[in-house]
Amino acid sequence: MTETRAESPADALPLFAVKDVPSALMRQTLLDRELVKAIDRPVIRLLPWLNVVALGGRSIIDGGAGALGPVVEELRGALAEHRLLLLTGPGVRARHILGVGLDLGLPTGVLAALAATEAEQNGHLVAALLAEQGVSYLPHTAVAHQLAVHLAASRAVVSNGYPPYGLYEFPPEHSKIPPHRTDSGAFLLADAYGARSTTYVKDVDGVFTSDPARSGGTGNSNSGNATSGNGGQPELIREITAAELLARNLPALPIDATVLKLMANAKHVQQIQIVNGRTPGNITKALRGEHVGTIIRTG
Amino acid sequence: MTIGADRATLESLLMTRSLDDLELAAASDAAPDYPILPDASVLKIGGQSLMDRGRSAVYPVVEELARVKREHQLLIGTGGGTRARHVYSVAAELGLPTGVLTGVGAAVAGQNAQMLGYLMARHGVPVVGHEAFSALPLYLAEAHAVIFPGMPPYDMWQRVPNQGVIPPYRTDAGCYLVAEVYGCRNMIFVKDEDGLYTANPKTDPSATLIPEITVDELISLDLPDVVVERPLLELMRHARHVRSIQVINGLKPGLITRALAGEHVGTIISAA
Repeated sequence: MTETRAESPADALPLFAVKDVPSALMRQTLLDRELVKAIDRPVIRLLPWLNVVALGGRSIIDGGAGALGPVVEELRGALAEHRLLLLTGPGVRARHILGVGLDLGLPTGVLAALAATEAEQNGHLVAALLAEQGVSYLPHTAVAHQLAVHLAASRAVVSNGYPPYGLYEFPPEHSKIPPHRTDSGAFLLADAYGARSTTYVKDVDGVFTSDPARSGGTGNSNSGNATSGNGGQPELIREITAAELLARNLPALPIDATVLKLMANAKHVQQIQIVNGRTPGNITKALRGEHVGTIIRTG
Repeated sequence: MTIGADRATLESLLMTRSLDDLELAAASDAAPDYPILPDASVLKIGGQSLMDRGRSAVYPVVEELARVKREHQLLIGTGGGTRARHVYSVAAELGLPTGVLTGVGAAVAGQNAQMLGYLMARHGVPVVGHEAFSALPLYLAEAHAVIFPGMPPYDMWQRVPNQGVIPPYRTDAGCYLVAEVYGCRNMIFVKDEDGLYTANPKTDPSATLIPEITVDELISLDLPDVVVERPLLELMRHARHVRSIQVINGLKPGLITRALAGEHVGTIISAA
């Protein structure tokens, strides 16, 4: 007998052998572009009937009974027709805690976690107002893993619009303000679930060529012209692509700029709509697919 | 401007402007940076590169970590490895989205954290999930080390890659962001190569080691394969605390100790 037999299975393995599970990505770094491309497949829509509605913190919820009240009534009326994931923004309290946290020298990740708490509290308020219709607040883990069963049991659920980035928030460029906020959280979820629609409820009619609040405009012009510059009377941009909107570099957008960047890689979401929740009927129309605000397309 | 005036400006901008406003960004940028755990170092223990090799690779690393923790505070993050690759491959073929892959991939880094935790239990080192990170200072004070699963908690909110569905921010990014948010002293990636090479040294014999490089240089080289997750390089550009990382070979005894002592024993990648 010339071959020596290994004394144990472990010794039979070459030193430092990797114990692989066979797969198309086996032994890959996942960092090689060509190899990772090989498993590209169309992505399925997990919840094609889902409608994601983001409720602005400052623009709607902080408005209290006057602003949030009618929005909640309109959402109540929409339940029979649509299944909704309602995501809330944090509003003015987040501005306050960002101010305190920045003054204390706390990092962006800590600020993100603190601001998210305010969005969560707003979610609890909205859920309480709709509880009679079977609507509850769901924490992030339930939204990520039990959304289907909750929406089979109820027409709508409410959650925290902030994504669960918390301490793992990206350090932003020349800033310490968390870059992934409610608008981004809503967009990422809508795309991950392959949602039917994504609607942002704010207190302006959409995206204007200049800030209506600062240039003294009424916020109700409705020109349908997307070509005018920053000067003069603000004009509503009815429809635009995310890339065009980013390129125009407008000083104050009603939606977080991060969303426009995320739209470039979207797998499912082809458009989002920003609507004025202070105008009765807008949310209902937007959920039915009508064009009542600014539609931003992915490409 | 006085501190009071700075704060008044910042507060007024926060109350009146969009959170994307450039003046607000600049005012927030000027706020102080308070490092939370400045004496701690983050080590990332590779999944495929170390854990999947079993005891021949892992036992010596465990011994070295147990020794160095006497002098250093360690936050030990874990990678995924071959099981993560398998589940990504299966899920991608089924047409599942990046968010689902992120959740199932995170579990693999969690398993590696558990296994490393059992091996380090006799040294008093606990495993801590990110939901319990508020107890990190106590663990560091008492045990000088903790183990955490390296995957960031992005779950269904993971950013979608330009191509395909593989989660772009995985355990390299997760461990790095922990180091950055806590203002840690070091970020050391413990892998199975001596550092960054011009190509994958496992498949390309002409690959040569790059001992030191900046993020900008590395991005402009446009290498087909890089030893750390590419999005990590973008995160480093804007970092306030952890402006450089070191990638070292954990299969070579003593390098973890030397890297923690500030020696250059692998590849150092710096933000500028």
